[in-house]
This record gives sequence, structure tokens and C-alpha cells, in this order.
Amino acid sequence: MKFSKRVQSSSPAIKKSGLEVSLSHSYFLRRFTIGNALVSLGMFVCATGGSWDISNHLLNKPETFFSAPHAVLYTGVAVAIFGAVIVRMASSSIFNNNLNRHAKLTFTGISMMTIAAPLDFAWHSAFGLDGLLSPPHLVLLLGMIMSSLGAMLGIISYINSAKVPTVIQDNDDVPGKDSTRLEGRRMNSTMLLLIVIGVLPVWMTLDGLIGMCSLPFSNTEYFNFNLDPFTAAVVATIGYPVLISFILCSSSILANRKFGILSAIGASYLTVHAISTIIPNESLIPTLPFYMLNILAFLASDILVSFSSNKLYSVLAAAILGSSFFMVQYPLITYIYSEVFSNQSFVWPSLISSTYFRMIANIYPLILGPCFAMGIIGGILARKITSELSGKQYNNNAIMNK
Amino acid sequence: MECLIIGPEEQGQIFSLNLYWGEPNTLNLPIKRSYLLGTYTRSFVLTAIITISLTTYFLLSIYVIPSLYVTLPQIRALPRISNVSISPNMVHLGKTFYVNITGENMGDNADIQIVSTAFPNLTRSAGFVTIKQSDFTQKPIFIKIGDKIGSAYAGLGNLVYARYPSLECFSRPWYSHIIHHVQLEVKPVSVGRFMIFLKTIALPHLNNKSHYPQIGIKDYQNEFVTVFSVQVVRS
Repeated sequence: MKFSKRVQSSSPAIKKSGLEVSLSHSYFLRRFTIGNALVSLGMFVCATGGSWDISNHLLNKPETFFSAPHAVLYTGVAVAIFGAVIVRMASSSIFNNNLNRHAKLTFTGISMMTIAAPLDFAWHSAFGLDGLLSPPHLVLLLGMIMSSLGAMLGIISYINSAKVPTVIQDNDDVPGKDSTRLEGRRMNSTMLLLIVIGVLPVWMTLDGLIGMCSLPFSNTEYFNFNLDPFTAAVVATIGYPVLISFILCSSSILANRKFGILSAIGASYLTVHAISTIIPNESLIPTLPFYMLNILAFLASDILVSFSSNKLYSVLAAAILGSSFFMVQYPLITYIYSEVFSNQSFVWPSLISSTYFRMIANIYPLILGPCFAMGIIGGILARKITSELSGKQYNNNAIMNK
Repeated sequence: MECLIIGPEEQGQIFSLNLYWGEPNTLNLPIKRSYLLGTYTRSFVLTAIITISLTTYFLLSIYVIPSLYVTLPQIRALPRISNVSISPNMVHLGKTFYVNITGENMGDNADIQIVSTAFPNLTRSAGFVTIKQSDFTQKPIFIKIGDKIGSAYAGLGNLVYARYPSLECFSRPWYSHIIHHVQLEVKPVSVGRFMIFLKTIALPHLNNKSHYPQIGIKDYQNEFVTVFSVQVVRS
């Protein structure tokens, strides 16, 4: 065994092999990634606050702007803005079109969120209390989605560049080893943590978009933005399974199918959802064990995708994830289907669990087929999009390093 | 065969680990991978884990746990008006009197519990009814003549138009065995017997015990009320 230490470009060994270490680029890339991680964390906190705010409105009808969920929400916005500033400072020193595009997506999202605040105030002043779906809320949520997507893409760029050798010529020293294949690259714990941080807010914000369109919480004194109950149920039945399957399958693929990532992200989502929607309602606390059972579906899917590269098992995992949506989206899913099946748009908070458990045995067999299909579609989309991303990222990094 | 591993960059240095094998003048390191279980055994174990976890998950989530939770006793609130004091019992026209109302929930938590005070002798409450003190968690609502209001204990499911002004004090939620008070200052507008209708309702309204009083006369909302009165005399 021969162990050698290579030093920077002043070394004759490096000049001979053509190795060049670009320290400054790596430094700015790290700062760029830290900024993106902060944006993702900010969006995660923001989405958690938003989810808690919905529960708060259902339970307590708060009459003040200064409530705990609002405080959490705006803390998340502040963290995200701070992260965006770091991204801006770092991206100006990185000459990479891809990374700059991701940064622009993040900035656009943050700008939309900033604009949404005075819009919301103006809307309240003009029309009083607003529902879940309103133009300012939509602007805010779209801003959150763009910010979290931009941040996640930035994180993926860092992970892919960390996987690719900084100098292509290294391949000449290692005949037969294909360093372009992601499968061939190891991922350390930092990269895995970054994937979790990047993916979770994307999931939560897209989840919020589907909920905003399907939950019947948008009928106010002046406007009724509620969708037709049947349409809302269709949106939920299609959207949620695709989303769950897409997000979890993507995260597993991004992590090179490492066992545990899918389960970790799923468990994190369950925990946040439980904290923001179940625990605030005391009558739902006894149903926590039911909700936590969802981890079994995530574990089973994780095993399927991690221990076999067979496409069939990936499809099966995606279908399982899609079919778990009705349990994962408890308790708010009750409002959507209750409106369709019992013509009851409002469910009392203390009656949510009994309404849900009366519904599930009747509704679930009806929606199982579509959930399966949508889950599979989500899995297919995950495969295509992540391979597209990985290919583009690699080519861009390769061009950058030449 | 040479394997190049690029480790973490530390102070601009790249470390490489070169492994040689197959050459007679270097150290020969045989690399042998071994698994705890054979391939087929591993597949069998994983398949068993997946099957058991999915069966458990779907069985428990769709059939077992729902059946269990549906049989649990429902949460039932028991609203009461535990104390009403009116002072003085007789007032001169143009003077005010005070009404102190104490409401309580003697059962389980209620999503909302409302204490309703109605003034059938008045045509409007503004200027005639003032809240002096209130410890309800939500801001009380004044109902004017013509406003839409729930009836028959159905909440917003059965709306009627208000025939006289009333005041709805409510907490959301109203926790078990918690007491709330309100003190009103009322100024009658005419001589004679000034009536006050009092009731309290817990929502969701599940049975006859979700409102108080449970017997007596009914108002225009088809809901039982307790009647209080103050004699108003000329100055």
C-alpha cells in the first residue's frame, strides 16, 4: 500500500499530472451551499408555521396578528432572507450559469414573499378576514415554492460538484474507472443531511399548494374561492399521491439509494405534521399512534428502493407511497372528503377523528386504484427528473472545470 | 490496478491512496467481501420484513384502529349558567343596572361555548348595553335586529333573522370545568318590566345536555331560555 500526499499547484508532482486545485471556487461554492441550506431551513420553518397557523385558525379563531404561529412563520422568512443574502454574495463570485439560475430562482421566490406581506395587509384592510386561498396567500406560497426549489437545486449542484473530480484529467491516472457515474461516487453524511434539508421544504410547500386548492377554508364574506367539493377531492386524490411518491423517490435517488434517507425524510414530515396539526387539537392527541404507523409504509418503500436496483421494486415502492397518502394527510384530509360524502363542509375539531375513522373504510377502497397509479407516476417523474438534473449538473460542472 | 480516492480538501491538499495488486514486487492485498447472510437468505428476510410491515400498516390503519377509535366515548360538554345577579332589581327610567353572568362547562372540552344574553325590549343595543368586564377568550359579538343567526341548536346550519338585539359571549375552545364571567351595564328605554333572556350552548351540539336550560320557554330561535326581569319605574 502506498500512501502519498499531494500538495497544491507549486508541487512538481501536480504540475506533471496536471492537477490544479481551485480553492477559492470551492470556498464560494461552500458559501453558496450554506446560503441555500439556510434558505431551505427558513422555508421549512415558514411552512411549519403556516401549517400550525391553519390549525390555530380552525381551533381558536385568533383575532390578533401577533400569534405564535405567525411568529414562527416570519422567523422562517427572516432566516430565508439571511440565507438569500449569503447566496447572493457567493453567487457573484461563481461563474456558473446553472448556479446563477438557481440563485435567481431563490431570489425571485424571496421577492415574491416580501411583496406578499403588504399585499396581504391591503387585502385584509379592504376585505376583512381572508380564507386559506386568496391572491396574497397564493403569491406568498408560490414564492415559498420557488425559494425552496431554487435552494434545493443549489444544494444538488453542490453535491454533484463534490462528487465530480475537480480536474477531469485525473481519469487518465485511473484507467477503467468512470468517475462520471454518480453511482460510483460516495456520499458523506453532510451531503445526506443537505438532501434532507433541501427536500423537506419543497415537499411541505408543494403540499401546501395542493391543500390550498382542495381544503374548503376559502369562503369568506366577500369571496368564495373554494373549489367545487368533487373537484377538490379529485385534486387531492391526484396531487397528494404524486407528490409523496415524487419527493421520497427523488430523495432516495439523489442519495444514491442509500437506505435510511427516504425513511428519515418521511419521518421528519410526519413529525412536523403531527406537531403542527395533531398536537394543537387535544382531541386528536390519542390518535398519534395511528399517525405514526405511516413510518411502516416509508420503511417498506425504503427497503425496496435501497436493496434492489430492479425497476419493478422502485415502481412498487412508488405505488406504496402513493397509496399511503390518505393516512399521511390525516387529519386535514377529513375536510376534503367529508364535503363530498356527507355534504358537510365544516367538521368540528373535536369530531375530526370520529368523522375520519368512519370515512376511511368506505372511501379508501374507492381511491386506492387512483392512488396507486398516481404514486407510480410520481416515481417515474422522480426517476426522469433526477437523472436529468444529475446529467445537466455534471456537464455544467465539467465545463466549469476545464 | 490503481485506485485514486480523492478525500476532503484540507488546506489545499488532496490525499490519494494507491492500492496495487497483481505486481510481484509490491504488497499484495487480497480484497474479500463477505456478507452476513447469503443472497437468497437476505432477499427472503427483506421480503418478509416488507410484507409484514405493509400488512401490519394497511390492516391497522384501515380496519383495526378505525374500529377501535369509533367505539371510544365521544367528548361531551355540559354547559351551565352557574350564577346570575342583577342589581338593582328596580331602576328608574334613565338609570342603569348591572348584570353579572357566570358560565361554566361542567363536562368535557367544548369547541365553542356561547353565553347568549338577549334584550327583547330593546330595538338596538348600541348605547344601551355596555360590557364592563369580560374574561371570555374571544371578543363578544353584538347581534342587531335583522342579522342572520343560528337556530334550533344547529349553529350556522339553520339560519334565521334576529328579532331583537342580543349579546353573544363565547370562548373557543371552552375547556372542561373552566368558568367565564361577563358584567354588563344596561340602560332600559321604557317603563315597565325589562326582560332579559339567558341561555348557553356548547358546540358541537350533540344531545340535550349540550345546552342550558334544558326546559322552559323557547325564544324565536326555537331554543330554551331562562327569563330574568328588572322593574323600570318613572323617575
